[in-house]
Amino acid sequence: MSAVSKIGKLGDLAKKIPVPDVLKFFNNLVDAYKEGQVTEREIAKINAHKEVMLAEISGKYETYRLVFNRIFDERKEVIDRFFDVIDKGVASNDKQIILDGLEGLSRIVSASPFANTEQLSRLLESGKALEI
Amino acid sequence: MALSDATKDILTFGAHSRVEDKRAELLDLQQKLSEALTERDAAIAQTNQAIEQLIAVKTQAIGTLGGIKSISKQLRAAERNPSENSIATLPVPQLSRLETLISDGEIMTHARAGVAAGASLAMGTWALGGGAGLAGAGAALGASAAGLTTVGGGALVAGGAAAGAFALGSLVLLPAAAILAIFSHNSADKKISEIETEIGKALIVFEESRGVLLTVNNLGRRVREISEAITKTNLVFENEKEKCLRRIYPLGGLSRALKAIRRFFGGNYFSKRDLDTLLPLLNMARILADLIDQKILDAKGNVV
Repeated sequence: MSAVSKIGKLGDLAKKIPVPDVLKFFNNLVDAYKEGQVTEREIAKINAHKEVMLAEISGKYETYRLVFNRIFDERKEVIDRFFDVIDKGVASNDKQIILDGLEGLSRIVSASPFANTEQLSRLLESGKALEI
Repeated sequence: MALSDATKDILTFGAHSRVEDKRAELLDLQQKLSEALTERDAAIAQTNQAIEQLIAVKTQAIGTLGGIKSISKQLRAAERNPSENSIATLPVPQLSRLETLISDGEIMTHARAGVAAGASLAMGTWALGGGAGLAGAGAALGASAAGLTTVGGGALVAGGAAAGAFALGSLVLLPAAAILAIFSHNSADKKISEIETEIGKALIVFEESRGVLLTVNNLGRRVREISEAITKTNLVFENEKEKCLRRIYPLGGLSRALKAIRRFFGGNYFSKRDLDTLLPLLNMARILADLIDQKILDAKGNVV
């Protein structure tokens, strides 16, 4: 609805109001305007909060995702290296090499990739720079 | 008399429209939320598959380990005979652990045969909890199953648990309390209050779905990592076991009979050469057992 037609409607509405009430009507109108302004500010505030929280959730999710991806990628590289050692042992029929490879594999797999999650969480909360 | 939207709009200088527009903007958040939930459910389905695979891999490895039961039996008999000192260097205490593991695994395998479709909760517990954590992980998986309806996710183990209740330790993207503190109905305007409540709820679900996605994806990667390690170790162990058995029992049943006769006349069942051959194999069995027994969930349902 355009501003002109809104004002027109307002005029139509004013005609229906008894003359003694006109002053009260305009006072109410001013109050309504003020309330509208307050509402607008509240909406802007809610929207800002919403955007900040969305950004915080998404940002933290992305950071954790990257960190864990990096952790798992590194572990995969080490695991693959132990697989190579085991394969070499099998190829040369050297049981000691096979055992060394299997021991290493077992060591890396039994070490939890989530052992330092709490520290990581604290580091992120502290806002310090994170190197990955 | 109820005022029309246009009249309300006039009287409030457009504020009414702006509130309604804001409500419509919520739909954007709902869309974001819907996408996040779809992504989470897809990750749960993938992790389910990975756990099914882990159950299959562990079951197979238990079967392979079962092949050394007879050797273990002979060694344990020797252990009871102090005169047979030649096996002192062998990791004999590991044998009872191996036997327990094989036994638990066999029970689980039989339990699975009784389940019509997919893996049972017991199998999921066995696969994720490890031997030592069976009871606790069972409770966690059970609690997760109860959480299925609240998170609306798929079953983590068919007929079993939902991923929603699992956690990565203390990792929280944004505490629900912090969200609620901000959207805590401060406005006198009822509509604004309603919008606040809706946004607050949507943000909490969004945060939870992102947390679950992170946990489930990491759980899936951890499960696949362990599956691959068990598969490789099992393959090597199986090959080495065949070689070892061929060496110890070159004549099959006849070799076994000869060893039994030797024992009957007071000798050792296994020769020194046999024991030298067995030592690396038993060490491989121990490593395979460690991997099979690897705990993935603790008693509280944390991914470890």
